[in-house]
Order: sequence, then C-alpha cells, then structure tokens
Amino acid sequence: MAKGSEDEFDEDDDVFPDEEDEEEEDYLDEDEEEEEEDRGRKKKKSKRERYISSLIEDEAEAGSEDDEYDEDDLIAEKDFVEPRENEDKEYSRGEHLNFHTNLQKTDEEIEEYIKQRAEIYMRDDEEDFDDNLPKQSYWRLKCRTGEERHFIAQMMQKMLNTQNYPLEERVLIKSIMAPQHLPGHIYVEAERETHVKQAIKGMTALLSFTPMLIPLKDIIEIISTSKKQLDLKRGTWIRVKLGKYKNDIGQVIGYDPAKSRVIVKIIPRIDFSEEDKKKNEDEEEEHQEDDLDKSKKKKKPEKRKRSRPQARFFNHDDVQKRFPQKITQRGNKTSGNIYYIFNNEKYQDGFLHKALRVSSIFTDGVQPTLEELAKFSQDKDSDKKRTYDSDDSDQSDSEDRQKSSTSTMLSTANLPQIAKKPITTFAKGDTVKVIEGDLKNLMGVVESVDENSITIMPIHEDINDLLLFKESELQKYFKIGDHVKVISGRYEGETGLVLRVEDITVVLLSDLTMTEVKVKIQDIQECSEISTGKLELGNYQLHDLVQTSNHKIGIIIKVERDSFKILDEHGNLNTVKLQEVGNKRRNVATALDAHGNTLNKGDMTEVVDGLYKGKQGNILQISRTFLFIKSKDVFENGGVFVVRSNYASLLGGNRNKQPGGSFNSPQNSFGNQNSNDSGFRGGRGGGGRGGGRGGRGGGRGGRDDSPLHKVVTIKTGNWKGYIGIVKECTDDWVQVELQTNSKKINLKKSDILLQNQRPQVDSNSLYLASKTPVYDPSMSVHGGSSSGASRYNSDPWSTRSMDTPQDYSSSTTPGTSYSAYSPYTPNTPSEIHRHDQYTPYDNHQRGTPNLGNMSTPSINSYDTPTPGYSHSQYDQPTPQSPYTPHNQPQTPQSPNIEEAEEEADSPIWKGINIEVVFTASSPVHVGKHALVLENTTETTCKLQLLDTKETVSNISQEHLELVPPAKKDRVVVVKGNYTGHEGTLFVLLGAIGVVKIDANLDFKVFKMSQLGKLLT
Amino acid sequence: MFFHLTLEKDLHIHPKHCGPNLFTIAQQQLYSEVEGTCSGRYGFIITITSVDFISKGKVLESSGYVVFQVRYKAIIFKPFKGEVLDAIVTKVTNLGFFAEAGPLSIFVSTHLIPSDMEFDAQSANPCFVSDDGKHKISKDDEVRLQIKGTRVDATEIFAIGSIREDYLGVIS
Repeated sequence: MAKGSEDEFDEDDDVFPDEEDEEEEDYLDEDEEEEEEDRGRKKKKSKRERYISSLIEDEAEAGSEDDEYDEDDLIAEKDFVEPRENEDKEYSRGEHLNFHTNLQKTDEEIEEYIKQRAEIYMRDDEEDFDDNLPKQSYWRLKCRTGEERHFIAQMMQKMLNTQNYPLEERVLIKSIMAPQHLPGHIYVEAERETHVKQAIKGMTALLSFTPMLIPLKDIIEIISTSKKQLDLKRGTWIRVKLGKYKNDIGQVIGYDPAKSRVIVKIIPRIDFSEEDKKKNEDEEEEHQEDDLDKSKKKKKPEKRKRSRPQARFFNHDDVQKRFPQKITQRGNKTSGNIYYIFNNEKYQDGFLHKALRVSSIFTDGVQPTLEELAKFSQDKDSDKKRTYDSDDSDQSDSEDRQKSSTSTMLSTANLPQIAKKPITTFAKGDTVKVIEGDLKNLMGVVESVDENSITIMPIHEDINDLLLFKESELQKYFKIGDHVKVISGRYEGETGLVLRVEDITVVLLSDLTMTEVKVKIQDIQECSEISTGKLELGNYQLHDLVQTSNHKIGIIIKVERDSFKILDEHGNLNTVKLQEVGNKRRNVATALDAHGNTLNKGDMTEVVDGLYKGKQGNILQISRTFLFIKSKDVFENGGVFVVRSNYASLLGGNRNKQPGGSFNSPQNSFGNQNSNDSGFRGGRGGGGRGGGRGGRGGGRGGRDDSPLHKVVTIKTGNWKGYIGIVKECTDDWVQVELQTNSKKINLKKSDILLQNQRPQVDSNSLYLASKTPVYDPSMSVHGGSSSGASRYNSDPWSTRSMDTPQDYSSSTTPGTSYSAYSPYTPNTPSEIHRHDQYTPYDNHQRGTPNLGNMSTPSINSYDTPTPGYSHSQYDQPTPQSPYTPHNQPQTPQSPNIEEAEEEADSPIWKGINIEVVFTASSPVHVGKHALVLENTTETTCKLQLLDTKETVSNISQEHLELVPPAKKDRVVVVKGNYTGHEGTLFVLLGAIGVVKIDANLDFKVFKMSQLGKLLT
Repeated sequence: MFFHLTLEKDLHIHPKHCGPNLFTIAQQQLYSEVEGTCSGRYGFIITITSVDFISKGKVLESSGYVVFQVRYKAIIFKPFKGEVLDAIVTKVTNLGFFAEAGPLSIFVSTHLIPSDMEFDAQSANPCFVSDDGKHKISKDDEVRLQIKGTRVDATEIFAIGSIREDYLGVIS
C-alpha cells in the first residue's frame, strides 16, 4: 500500500508539467518542460514526506486533485478503447473552440498553431507512461466470484435507466471493468468516491460497499496483465500458487489458451492414510460411492491443514497392491505410454499430470533448484528406458509429441527462457551454442543483446553473417579450464576454473576455497578477474576474530551472502548467521612459540608439530594460545588453519634463545634465578636439567642444546642422514629413536643435528670458532677502547640480542651469534651493519655492568676455547672494515677458523676421490695428477694416475700435494673436524674458501689446505 | 613453456649501498628481487642469465633511494593451456591431487582423472589407484599431465591439469 501511494504520487508529480500545459501548452518547448520536471522533482521530495505520514487521506486528496485533468491526460497514453473515444471527443471539442477564438488570426498564425499542436501530439506519443499518466481515480470493489460480468451488465442497465434522472441519482462513473484474470474484482473509474458509492447503491452482487482507491500504476498492471500473452511452452517450469502443491515445481506438458488451463507434470503428494480411510469406507458402502465422494471432498481440506503429504513419485506397483480397485491402467502398453488413473487423477512415469488454471500457477521467473531439476531428470532416464523398451511404432501423433517433449523437456532449452525475469544472462563476448532449431550446435560469440533477441557471430568457416537468435535458443558454452565467475545463485561472486561441464551444470574449482562447486550453466560468465570473495558483511570482515554465540572464538574464513564460515579454536568449521555472530575481538594478543619467541599478528611462522607440520604461513589472528595461520600450502578453508602456539615457530626468529637461556640459567642460578627464562622452558621440563648443567657449566661452560624430544638428523656414521627423535640425552650422548624403524641408537651428541638448524657443536669445534669472532676478536683488538654505549643503542643487531640481561648473555652464546649468520641473513646487504657495529658492540660489552658476568668462570672458559685465539686476530690481515665485500660476510671470521683449526692442521689429510699432484720430491711421476682411490694408511694412499689410468699404491702423502680446487668445484674437507664433508667451493679468497656443505647447505669457511678437489 | 626474454626493472637501492660495490649490490638485489617471482604477464621468472645493462642511478628526492633501470635476460616459465608437463605429485585428496612442475602448482581434479582410477582412502598415504591396481598415483610420484586451464594472478599462476587423455598419467 505504501509503495502504491508513493507510486501514485510520482505520478502526480511527473504529470505536473501537464497541468501547466493547459494554459501554455502551445508555447511549451523542451527546455521549459525540463524545468518543469525539475520543479516537480523538488516538490516531490517535500511532498513525499508529507505523504508518508498519512497515507490514506492524502491519497484521497491526490485523487481529487487529479480529477480535473483526467480526461485530457488519458488521451495520449491509454490504449483503452473507451477512453480513447472520449478523448477524441474532448480534444476535438477543445480544438474546435480554440479554433474559433483563433479565427481572427492570420493564416500564418494558424498554420503555426497547427504545427505546434502536431508537435505536441508527436511528443506525447513518444513519452513514457510514467511521465504522463492520467490522474484518473480508480476504485476497486469486490463482488462475489463469478458474478463480475453480471454485475457489470447490471451497472450498464442501471446507467441507462437512470439517464434521465436528476444529477444526484445518475450513474456518474466513467467506466467499469472486471478483468478476467482477477476474479471477484471490479474496477470503477470515477471522479469522486461519492460517484462510485452512488452508482453501486442497491447492487446485490457486491461483497463490500466501500470502494478502495487504487494507485494508477497498479491499474496499468491490472490492465496490462490481461494483455500479456502467456507463452506456456512445453517444458516451462511453473510453481503452483495454492493448495496441496503450493510452491511445488511443475513442468508444463500442455496448454489450452482458450480454457486457460495447463496440464502440469508434478511430483504427486498422495495421502495414503486418507486413501486407506476411503478404501475402508468404500468397502463398507461400495454401493453409495457417489455420495461418499462428496463427503470425501469435504473432508479433504481438514486433512490438508493437518499435514501435507510427502511429495514422492507415484509407484503404481505399490498403489496397485494397496488399492487394487481404485487404480486403472490406461494407454497403449506397447508404445510405452502407459498411464494410471488413480482417484480420478492421471499418473505417468511417477508424475501426476494435473490440469490447473493458469491463474493458479506462477510462470514468471520460475527457476527450479538443482534438486528439483535432479528429480525431474531422474525421471528422464526412466522415460528413455521406456522408450527403448517400446518396439511399436503406431503411436498417435499427440503421443509422439508428448514423448519427445518429455525427453527434451529437461534440456537446457527451457531454462533460459524461464529465467526471463532475471534479465538476460547473456553478455557481449560470451561464447554460446545454439541448442534449438536448424542451426543446433552452432557455436558463436554474442555480439549484442536486445530485449528479445541476441545477435551472435557464428564461429564457423562458412557463416560469416551475424545471426539473430532468441534467448531460449542459446546456451552458454564453457570448456574445461575456463576461468569463470558465478553471477547469480548461491555462489554468486565466486570465481573458479571449470573442471567439468555437464548438461546444464558446471563444476567449478573455486579460487577462494579450493573446493568444488556445482553451478548452473546460465549462472556463470567467463571472466579473468579473481574474486577475493566477499570481504565484508555487517561489521565483520574476512579474517576477523569473532565470538560466536556459544562462547566460542573463531576466525571468519569466508563471508557468504548472509552468513559466515567460522573456524574455531579447535579447528571446527561452522556456518554462522550474521545475527549470531558476537563481538569482534580487537585485542592485540601475543603468544609464545615453541622456542619462546613472541608471536604477533602478521608474523611468518612455521608449524613444527602436529597435523600441519612443515607448513609456513602468516599469523592472521591470535586467540589465547591458538594461532590462526594462513598458508599457501593449505587448501582447506581458504588456507586458514589453527594450531597451538607452541607448535609454531617464528620464522627468522631466534631459535636458540632457549638454549641460550638454558646456558644462562645455570649462571643465574648462582645469583638470581630468572623467572622469565624458566618460564620459557617450562614446557619441556628443562628446570631439572638446568641444575645438572649448572655444575658442568662451571667446569667447561659448554652449552646444552637440550635436544631432548626434538627431531634430529644424524650427521655421521652408519645412520648418517637418518632422522629421529631424541629420547634421552646426557651431556655427551643421546639416544635417538629413528623415525624409519623405531630403532633406538646411541650417538655422540656431536653427531646429531637439530632439524632445520645449523649444527650445534661442542665449543671447540670449527663451527663455534666460526661463529664467535664477532665479539671475541674485536675484544682483543679494541680492548679498552672508549665506550660506545650510545652507538650501541642505535645498533639493530645488538639491540636485538640485548633487550635484557639474559639476552645479553645469550647473545654471546654461539647459538645466538650464529643466528646473525644464519642462512637467512648471509649475503644480504644488511650484513654490512654487522661489520660496522661489532666494535661498538664490544665496547658496550666492556662498558656495561653486565660485564660482571664476563668474569665468571663459565663465561671465560667458554669464551676462550681456542688457544692462540687472540693473537690470530693480529696475524690475520684480512680487513674487517665495514667495506668488506658484503657478499662474503664470513671473511672476517676466517682467521679464527684457521686458528681454531691450527692444532688439527697437520700435513696429513684423508679422503678419496680427490685430485692430487706429485710434488718434486716424489721419486716417480713428478708433476702428474692423480686420483686418490684409497687411504691405505694414515700417510699413504693408493692412486690412479689421471692420464694413464695406471694404479699406484703406497704413495706417501709427503710426495703428494692437493690440487687446489677452483671456484664452483666440488670439494671435500680432508683435514680437521669436518673431514669427509663434501660441498661446493662457493667463494675463493686467497688461502680461504667458503664451502657450501652438501649435508645441510650451510656455508663454512675453510683454509684451502683443508680442501681437496673432488673428482667425479 | 620456457622463454628467454629480455626484461627491464627499476631497482631501488638504499643509499647506504652507494659505495665501491654498488653495482654488485645492485645485481644481487636484482637477483633477489626478481628470481623466483611470478608476473602474471610473463610467468615465473626462473633465473636471470645475464644483466645486460644498468643505467646511471637517479636519486629520488623524497626517499634518498637510488633508482637504476636494469635490463636483464631471464629464463621464464609460462604455462599454457594444452601444454603437457611433467610434474611431481605433492598432495592427494579425495577431490583430486596437487602436483608441482617447478614453481607451478597444478590441481588435477577427479573429474580429470580417468574414471577407472579411484581415490583410495584406506591406504596409509592417500592415493589414486586404477581398477586393475596397476597404476597408482600417490605423493612424490611423477605424472605427465596436460594443462587445462590457468588462473593468472598478478603474483601467482595456478593451473588445473588433466590426466584423462592418452599418454598421460604416472611416468614410471
């Protein structure tokens, strides 16, 4: 009602110019009209507000206002027969009058006048209904159904009868009508309500004597619907408006426009309990069947109210068993057109064939759902079977048609046609296929889309002309692999790749969720964009942390039309309606990862345990100890998953913080125990071990990697390369349970490698030496130089490791300093910082009170594992200036390595497959190159000469020299702790080489004398 | 398909690198910025084969960064519809399996796996097994597949593949 009144009101305003027309019609030109319209619009706004407040009264008001112009305005736009005549009369009369007044004018003026008139007429014709609707008042009356025409006839009679009566008794209404499609409704055109009331006085057929004002827009609809020609083709989808089958989908199988009846195929809803009852009654009073039928009919409505029978296919066998008398089989058995009559209704192929009035079905925009389609297409198969079974050809014409129709009924042909309301689904550029007519299966590209027709450019060698098709004759065409977008339906907005094309559906792989989605072919469109999906709904956005109704917290992983998919902390996925979503969590929670690093939103992490082990991703949200991580490697839930924070590890974070801490804790145990630190380790029961190590720490200052329960790789020996979990560990030994066969083996601690970590080795190893120089050498170099604490503060490297005193000491552990050199950082330009900074950093060390720690025995013993270490600093002239080439960050460390290796650096080497050359001191083969086949004793070996392939044994290493490898050569370490490790010489700098070790892809620095060139 | 193309890029280099090794750093930055990336237009940039030209640097007034125009040759991998590739299976699910051909990840849906192959949910590691049990697709297997469609993002290319054609499937 409200809408109606507004509409009417628009009407009123739009017509507004016309009111002016009355006086100055002749002089009106286009511009003026526009102005008028503007004015009208402004007026509309203010008026609308008024209108909303009190609808009915105003309507009436508007109605009476309009009355004066009714007749004139009607003229132009209504196709009414009756009014038209009126109009003409009116106009001719008006013109006539005008003409007379104009008689005095000159011929030119008259001519001018006529032209203007003509123009106005022309314009009027072109104008829309909307702009120029008559301000006619229509009143609706209700009468008993079936008596509409009779009533109208009565009114006509009354009008004639009262023609000569005084004015107040005359019938003053303008017209009256009873549209066929609106039973019980009568529309009266009149100037005033009183006219209507007066006219209907004493009429018996009416149900109510209060006329209802109808907005003009509605009148258009009322009148035009009758004009709309119903095109109920075979196969058109319909829905039933009322009754037992309300809202059920049906398919037209026959249409009789004359009777306005349709025969509809529908899934029956037979109430067998009712039928049972009937049956019993039938048996009792079989002879009075006719009467019984009537009573049954009366009963039915009650039944219907109580429960609606289930829609299921008609199974004649079942029915036959239960009601053998009531069912009859008809039709031609041989042709397969068998149908059954049950309870006066016709059933075929499980469907009920029901005749319905056109007015009792919806035909517009009926779109079957996929399930409904499936039900109807199930039958299609059975249809076919029946068709094949039949071998007889003497079918009547109609039967034949019927049959073909059932098989084509489900073809897509019908779908676009039905979908008239959702506008056309075709767009320019779509690839389409012709599915009906002579040109069936022709492919084409849509060139343009009109209201009723679509122009396509066929993709065919011989057809080069544009062709016109009806929408119903075309179907979109997609190939597997096309990237498409869903433009309507449940999955609207999603994009994906076509995985499979079926008859009328397409299976997509959604870009967003990586799941398969089934959509109807007319719902998709080719596109290149990739939808991110809907990002917002209400106040909530994708990836928001929200509280759901049942006090669970979860993350929104998908926004749907009016609901969210929410992944909760336990990894369960729920669909939650917008209304049910609770508070949005905006807290800035943090959590601690497996190594005690603080995790924040947005950090990159790697999952180290659990179901998602090995996955890397960004932290989207943190809720308590749960992390919601988005990873590209995960395909479920749009890549979002949930893990406990202690299963995650911060990427680029300080892995050794913990070992560092544990190293520190014994120290601290002398004085203050650090609660924070033990907190970090609490989960692993490290506290107990801490004490033990404390004692040891005093002696050696060794560090404990505490690999307990960690996954490690075995570095050497028979089990080299195997992966296992440390089950037990002592200071020097570990027991590793292999993953491969659950075998437990004991290994030296130095022989294992924590996964994803560079080797953690005992303190006098080459590694340590390579990792610590940053601090120690400079200590000796710059010892006692001025304090640089202020510079320290600006130093990103040292600040990172020195937030707290604990961190400070941990930063001096090999592990931490290693992290600065970790594979993540080498070669990056930022390396330069380190060279810049280590001096001030050390100064800082000297200057800070923390240095007190440095004097503890443990630190000392730790810090000086390499005798001759400090002098090495002087020995080595290698520049340590900030200008050291950045791509070789290791350079400054090299002296230390060498020194560290000094002891081990004997002339004796070990290794096979390396290239050697005979020195001048050799008795034979001087200058020849050879390949070491075997190390027969410590100092002798068996060789094969490269040129002659001759094998020589027992050559003393004194007579041999290692061939220095060149850059990118394969090398093997032949001396020192790393003997046997193979790698590639990455950088060569004089006597020092950087080797990329194969085993762990780490970069190591070796003296060239330690390296042998591998021959393969 | 692989291409060897000459490409250009504007390199923004932090002023701290303006020292003796500027060009080395510029090159390295180019490597790290470009190699392994994916452009929707060209595909995956696998490796830079040579840096042909580094223009004179231009200091940006606002930030102090130095901009170099760099021209380089690179090997580029761009998948095309219809192309047949060898790939390694990375994940098998009931909807199909994912495979990787170098940097490209490809999804092969069950719709595009021969109908005689079925997902075996029972086995320890998920796999597709043919009816006669002769062929099996599980993780880390090599398959030969045909690319049916690609989804080209600005930074990513994703493809769906098919092994439902002759001569496609597991390569033994």
